[in-house]
Amino acid sequence: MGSIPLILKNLSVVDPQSEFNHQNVDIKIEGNIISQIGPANTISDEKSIVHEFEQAFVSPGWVDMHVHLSDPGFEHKETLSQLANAAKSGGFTAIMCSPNVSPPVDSAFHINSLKTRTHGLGVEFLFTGCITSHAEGKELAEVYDMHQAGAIGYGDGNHPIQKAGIVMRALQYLKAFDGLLIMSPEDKSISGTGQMEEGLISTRLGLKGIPEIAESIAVSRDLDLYQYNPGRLHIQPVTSKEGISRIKAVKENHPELSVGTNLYYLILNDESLLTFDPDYKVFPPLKTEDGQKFLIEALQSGWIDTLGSGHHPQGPEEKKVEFEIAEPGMLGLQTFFALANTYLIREEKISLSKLIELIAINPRKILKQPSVSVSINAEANLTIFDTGMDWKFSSDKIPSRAKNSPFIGQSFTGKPLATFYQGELSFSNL
Amino acid sequence: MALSSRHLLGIKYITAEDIRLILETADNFKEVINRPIKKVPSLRDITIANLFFENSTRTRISFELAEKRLSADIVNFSASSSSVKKGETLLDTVNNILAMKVDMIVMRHPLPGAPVFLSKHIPAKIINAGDGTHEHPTQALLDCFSLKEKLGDLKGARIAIVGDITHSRVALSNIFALNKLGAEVMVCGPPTLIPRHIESLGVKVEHNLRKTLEWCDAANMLRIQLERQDIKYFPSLREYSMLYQLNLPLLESLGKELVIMHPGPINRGVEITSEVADSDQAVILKQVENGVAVRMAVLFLLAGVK
Repeated sequence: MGSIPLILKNLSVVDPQSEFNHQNVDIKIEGNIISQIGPANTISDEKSIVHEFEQAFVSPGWVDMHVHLSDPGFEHKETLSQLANAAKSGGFTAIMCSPNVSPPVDSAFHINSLKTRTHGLGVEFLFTGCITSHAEGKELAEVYDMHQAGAIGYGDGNHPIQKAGIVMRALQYLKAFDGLLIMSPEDKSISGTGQMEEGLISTRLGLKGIPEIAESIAVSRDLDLYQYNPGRLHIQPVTSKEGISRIKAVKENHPELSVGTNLYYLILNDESLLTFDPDYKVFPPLKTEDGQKFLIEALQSGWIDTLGSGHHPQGPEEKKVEFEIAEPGMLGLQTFFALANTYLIREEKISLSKLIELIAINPRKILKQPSVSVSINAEANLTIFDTGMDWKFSSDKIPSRAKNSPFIGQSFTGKPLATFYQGELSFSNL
Repeated sequence: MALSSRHLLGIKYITAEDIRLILETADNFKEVINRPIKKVPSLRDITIANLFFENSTRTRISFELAEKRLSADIVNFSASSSSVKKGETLLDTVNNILAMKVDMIVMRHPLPGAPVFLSKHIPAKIINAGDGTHEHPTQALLDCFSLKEKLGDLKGARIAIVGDITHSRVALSNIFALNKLGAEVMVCGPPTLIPRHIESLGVKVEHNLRKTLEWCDAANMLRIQLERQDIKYFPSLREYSMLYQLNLPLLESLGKELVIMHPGPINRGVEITSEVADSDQAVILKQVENGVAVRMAVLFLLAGVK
């Protein structure tokens, strides 16, 4: 190997799969492998590079299950290397990417091209391919070919499939190679040109509301098809009470069925839209206060398996315009942990261990990726983070040209410090 | 006395006191515009740009007359709504006009919230002359002014708004204004055109026109906004008028005085028949006259806000 060993000193382990969980340790990494773990301040070696931490935590590397790619096609928002930098800055060692670029990722050629272009960027890119050609919802794409090229799942991303027959054939066909179907539930004949969640606020603003049933009716349809034809199905983002409740009921007999949502649905609600600020425009839209409360309860009850950032860059051209013509989406990778720590963990809504399950343990199980653990002889794939440090998010920290975060200028407690992936320790720029 | 806001973006952004002040000031201006010499120098040296990104006849002319009677300098800009979505952004258009030293903007725009958006990015004062399905504050103010002329104090008055509530900025602004003045409001129309959560704004909902008219002191008959409906919400205009048309037999059968309003333009034979629109109970042309006085009041008062 030849590389100089690395010693990470004084880290508290958060990893339910590790025998060192909750212990304060030193970790020695040689090359790509954790060679030694011992009590804090016991491992030393003059030939190693040593990094001392203070009151910091270490967990298996985080996976963001919901990232929108902008490259190719929308490089003016964010390039692949800017995306990788945002992920590392946010503490993520892996990101699952939606296929909605231009042209859409619907062939092995596209997967191969993306694999080549993201090689060596210091983050694991988990690519999904379109389940239908051009994400048009009409004909199945060559999913096996994409599987061979390394795609980890198939779905049409933010072009939800409207025809039940296509979903049924997708579930059937993917069984040939145990492929994962990823559905974003929305019935467009109900949501139409809606701009925000239907409720008191949409009524006050005169903005066309999207009723929750636009999502839950699509969830129900997909669940019926799934029960008729069980396979691997992950539904995300689910935001509706009915949708989550129905998935929970079906999961009782089908534990492999999984559901994810995005962090911003737990942190914000439709009151943020009162000033028509396009930075708060996302799809599916931010929930009402009641809907937000339900999602937090669902998370606490263990009904939700994964939590994504929903990272979706948009340039000023897309956002500094009237609300209705603004593109949906907000940046998410860099503020993910700070938001979760400040508003969920410190407010005792969920524990730190629970968060690690949602963003490091469960995603790899659902995606059938090798599990990652803070254990001796395991591959070193780690995130190091702090939970008590106060800091302020500023736009100069954002690597992309897109600055569409409503959290710029906001103060948080806790932040990612570094990631270790493929032999590289990268310190966060936050 | 001064307004609490430096813009008029919507009725929900101003107070009941603001509304009363505007209506009182409008009273004075109504007297002014009925004089032989209608022009006063109040806004001399103030430059106002009327930006109409959506077709409008009466609102545009009403604002223009109000500005001229106050001796303001004015420039007019019209663009079709289709050009809004491509080419120059709203912000660029407005900044170009402001670069020529304009003090106030009167804007009609097809997208809800456009004036609110603009107010965060430009220094000029903004008057919303209707923004998509959001608000049309000066229409609500002139409706309140016209109602007060007929009914006196609006506290406890019963006002019905009939028609396409979902796509109506007039309905929304009227609800906010009437609520602030203590009136009771009922909305009536086909269930597909009544927002599901409208009751949370403190209004009653009724789908039967006769029951609505029996309840109210005044009825504001709205036009069906076909241009804002992207899908069909009812089978045909013919069937709509069977259910929601105010016609003479219905009016006479009520056996009471009813103040009949309409924000215009009227679709005669759809929501209202000619006999009713032209009857003594209708105040439709009075509303138009009052519109100029109310807009003069708004312009005058906003010009005085620092």
